Amino acid sequence: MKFRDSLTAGQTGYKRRFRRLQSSPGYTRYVEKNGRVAVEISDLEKVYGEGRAAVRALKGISLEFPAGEFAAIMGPSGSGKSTLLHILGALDRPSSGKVVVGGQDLSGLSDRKLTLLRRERMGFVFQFFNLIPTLSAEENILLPALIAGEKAAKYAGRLDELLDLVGLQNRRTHRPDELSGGEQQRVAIARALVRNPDIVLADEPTGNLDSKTGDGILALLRESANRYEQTIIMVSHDARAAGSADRVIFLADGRVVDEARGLEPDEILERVKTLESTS
Amino acid sequence: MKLRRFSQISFRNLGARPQRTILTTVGIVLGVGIVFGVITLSNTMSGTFTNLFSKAYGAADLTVTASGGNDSFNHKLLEKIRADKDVKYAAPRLSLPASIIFKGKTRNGLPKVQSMRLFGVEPKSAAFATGFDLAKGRFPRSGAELTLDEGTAQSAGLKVGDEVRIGTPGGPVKAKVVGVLRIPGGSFGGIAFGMMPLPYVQKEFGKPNKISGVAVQAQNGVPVKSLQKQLSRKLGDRLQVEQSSTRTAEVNSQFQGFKIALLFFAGTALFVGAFLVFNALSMTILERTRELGMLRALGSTRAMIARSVILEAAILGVFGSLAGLLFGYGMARGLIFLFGKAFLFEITSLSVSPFALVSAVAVGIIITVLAALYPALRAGRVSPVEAMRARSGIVGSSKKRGRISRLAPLVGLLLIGAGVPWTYHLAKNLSAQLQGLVYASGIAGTVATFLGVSFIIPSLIRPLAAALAPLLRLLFGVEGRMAAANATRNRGRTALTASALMIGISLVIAFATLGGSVLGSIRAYLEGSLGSDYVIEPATSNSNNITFSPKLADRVKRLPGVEKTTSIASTFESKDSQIFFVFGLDRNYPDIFRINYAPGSKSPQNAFSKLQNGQALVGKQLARTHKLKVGSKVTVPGPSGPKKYRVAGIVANDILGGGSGVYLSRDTLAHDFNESSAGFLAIKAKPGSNRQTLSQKIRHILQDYPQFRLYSNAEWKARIESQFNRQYVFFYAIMGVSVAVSAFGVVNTLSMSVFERTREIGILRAIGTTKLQVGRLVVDEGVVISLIGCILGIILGSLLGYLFVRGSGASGFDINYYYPTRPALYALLAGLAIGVFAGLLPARSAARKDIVESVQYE
Repeated sequence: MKFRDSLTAGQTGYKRRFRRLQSSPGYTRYVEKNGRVAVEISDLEKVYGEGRAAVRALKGISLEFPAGEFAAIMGPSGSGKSTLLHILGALDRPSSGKVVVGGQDLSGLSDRKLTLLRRERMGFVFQFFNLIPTLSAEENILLPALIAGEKAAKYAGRLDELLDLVGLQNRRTHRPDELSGGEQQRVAIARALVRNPDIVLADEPTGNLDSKTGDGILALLRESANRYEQTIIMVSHDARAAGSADRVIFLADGRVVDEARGLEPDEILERVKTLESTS
Repeated sequence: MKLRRFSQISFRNLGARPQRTILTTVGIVLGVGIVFGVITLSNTMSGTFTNLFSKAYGAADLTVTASGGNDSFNHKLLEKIRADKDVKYAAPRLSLPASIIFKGKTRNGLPKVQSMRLFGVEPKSAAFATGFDLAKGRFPRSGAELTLDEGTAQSAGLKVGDEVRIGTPGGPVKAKVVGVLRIPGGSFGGIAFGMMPLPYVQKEFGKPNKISGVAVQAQNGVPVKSLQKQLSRKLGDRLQVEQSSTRTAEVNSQFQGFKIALLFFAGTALFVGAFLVFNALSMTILERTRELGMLRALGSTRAMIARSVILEAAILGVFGSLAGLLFGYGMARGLIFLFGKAFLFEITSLSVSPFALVSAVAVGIIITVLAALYPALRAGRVSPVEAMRARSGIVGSSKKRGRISRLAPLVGLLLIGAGVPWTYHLAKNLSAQLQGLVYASGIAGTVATFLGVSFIIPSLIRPLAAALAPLLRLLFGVEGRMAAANATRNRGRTALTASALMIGISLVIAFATLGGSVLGSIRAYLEGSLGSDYVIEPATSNSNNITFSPKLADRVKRLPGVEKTTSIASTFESKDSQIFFVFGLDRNYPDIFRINYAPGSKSPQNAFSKLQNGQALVGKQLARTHKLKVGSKVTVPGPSGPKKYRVAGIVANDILGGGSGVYLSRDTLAHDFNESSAGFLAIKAKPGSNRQTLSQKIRHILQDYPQFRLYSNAEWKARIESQFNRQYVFFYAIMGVSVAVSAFGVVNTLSMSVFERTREIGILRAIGTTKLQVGRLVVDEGVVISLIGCILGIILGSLLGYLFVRGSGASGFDINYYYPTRPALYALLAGLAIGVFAGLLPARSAARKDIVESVQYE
């Protein structure tokens, strides 16, 4: 309960700023946290370029991500999984189709609205960690709060909690170049969680790490999904990584070709191999 | 410092890249410094002049002088003024150029001479004749008593009671220092200022019963304006009655053009500084693309990103501007020193106005922020998707750029098409009156041309680099060729860097062209027409109008070994900003100087002899502007009203008057202009005479006239050239700063190139390129960039220089265009040097890159 308190304390400012989004039709944070859909996409298409040079990266994808799910998206390179993640994270817009995040239809939202949405509802974990080299670990973690215009002091409790979670209490003042790859990625995860987003999007979070460190990172994501009831959508090549997800979605050539629950890494690998050979 | 606010990231970014930050700031520091320096210089100049002239012309309400020029008039008029019941007092003065001769000797054994402005004053009204206060002693009463300015007295170690010699046309006279005057600003710009009794001055300088000005104070309660009207009605056209303040303002307004030119140079330096900021910020943003994308993904809005970049620039702007003030103060000191050297007017105290402080800082910050706008907008436009990309670098914007760069050369051509003819038109037709507006629009034309060329440069980079490639290959081997190719990879950046250099170089070349053309014209004249072997001239070059008595000429003429001498008397008259240089020539003149008559002159053989009949020769330019022909009449304003002379001939090689000279006989000059004595003597030696003994004998005579010196032809030419070059040093110093600023731009561009190509450098190293080769690759790229800038600068500068020469031609000086070969060559060498030096640091960082890390660099 202590954590929840610090959370609400930190969010009074955000609530005021976010009221406009909240009042949009269909939006109810309460409902989605109780077994409803966090993200829903339908008939999603994405075309890059024009004319003859046009590339259709996504060719009509429909998916639902229930709140609290840890989903992995897999597929050979060029299957469109990164594009899908960009669109799910409101980083990019689809050419056609609909994206609904927490009951909010994203189509037609201005860049500013999308930015606010990302700020309030999304957390990101990147393959290359993307920490700001000039900021210390704790400053990097607090960055999303600062971006949202919040006072760092309000997040003191939250920061401690997250540093405990990722096990970097004693490294908090170190700069990124003084941290190992695994440590940097843990800082990145703490950063993604600092404002308690509904959805965490992870782009190859273990891609740049050795397998043991990668396992630690996955466990961390898993735990945060369970503990904070967050929806985690992860793109990965790594069958071991996908194995720790609730559901694995297989993409090939811009389409969803398969999805499965409770698969072992070996089975996942097998399926990816088939996909690669057929596409 | 703990991060508390998003905006503080800007500070962190600056701190994280100290080298880049410093490089960027250098641009601002130099730009602001030069603006501050120039404003301070011109303030100091105006301040000094205002102060001096308001004091020198007396604190009185009105000043009476002869209309137009520095003529003298009969002192009887003084009684007329004094007779007016509304005049409280009237203090006469006779103002003359003179010289003061000190005890010591200069290094080459000649007496120490300083120019002096001498006022002959009445003992009873001496205190009112000028506004200077006594520091010590008293005003002169009778005989050879001198009251001297404090600065001169101090530097020469003179005290009240000491004796000193004063140079007069008849030779030096001894004078006793009886008082010391306090001069605002310490000195009269390096010229001594002295007061002696009026009768004494009238006698010694051959101006009996003459005065040159009267300071008039109105009775209490009498409005100054009405007294002014009253007096000018009474005194007639030949005298003018002015309020002392108007006169001071006039003096000041003469600096207007000079000030505008100074500000223009300052502006270019600032412009180049802005380029540097723009460049550096664009690079920083390129470098941080992924970071910016990440910040966008985390929920920073476009505006937040743009603001943080602008904030970064503003911080740089504030610190850079403040540092610029320090630099500018030093620069102002240096400029004032140079100004003193160049124009022989020393200013000792610096007046720093709050306006200069505030405007320099404001301009610095505003320019920095403006330069940051585009990079900031681009930073805001970075897509959040960039956060996910493996490689850093702006990918998406290339399409839009293509459209702009296709349009840019067209816009550039349009601008050049408008700017060049406009400048040319102004130069040719309007510069006879070089006023603020003409200057400003000429500058606008020049700026348009610069902008136009800058727009075209991106399209020129490839062919120029291709043209340079074989040369580089020859000089530097395969690295040279690769470097040329590298320079074309980011044409926009190369172009920006090169155009910054181009502007500085082209200004230097343009001024060198003007200077070289003037000098070349003088040289050509001297070689073509000087038939003398020696000349006698004033020893100090800021006292060209002091004269000697005819006795000097006579004594020289009688020396064995002297074939002929000719002395020239001169004066100038001005009316409505048109200046007439009037010369009095004796019969020997054509035997020593060759006069070339302009085609169309009738019977040039006896044109000269007609001077004795009161006719005149005129310079070619004057003839052109006044549409004069042989036989028509020229009107010259004179001390006793305008004078008309029949034109006997038109002189093609009129360098004495710069094309606007009016040549009369000595008698006519003495009669019409009160100028009977000469200040210049040309001597022709007998063929076969011993030159050494001759010059010794002349020097012996000159011991009685220590304010004059003997120069052989070669010495005289060298003297003219060095006097001339001194003035150019002043402008070169200012332009040098803008070249220096752009050199920093090259450093910046190169470090960016090195940063961008980290992986490429790693690969080159991996396949066996040595550190030295990698370093040379960078240095060569610097050379390519700076050579492109310099070559374009030379081309543009020659063109501008041509326009300048035409412009001067229109204002009355007849100058031929000489191509500045040597400066152009120096500029090329400077280009090489700038390239090499700018490349050193980035080359070192390229060579020191760790191979393994670089290859893996994403």
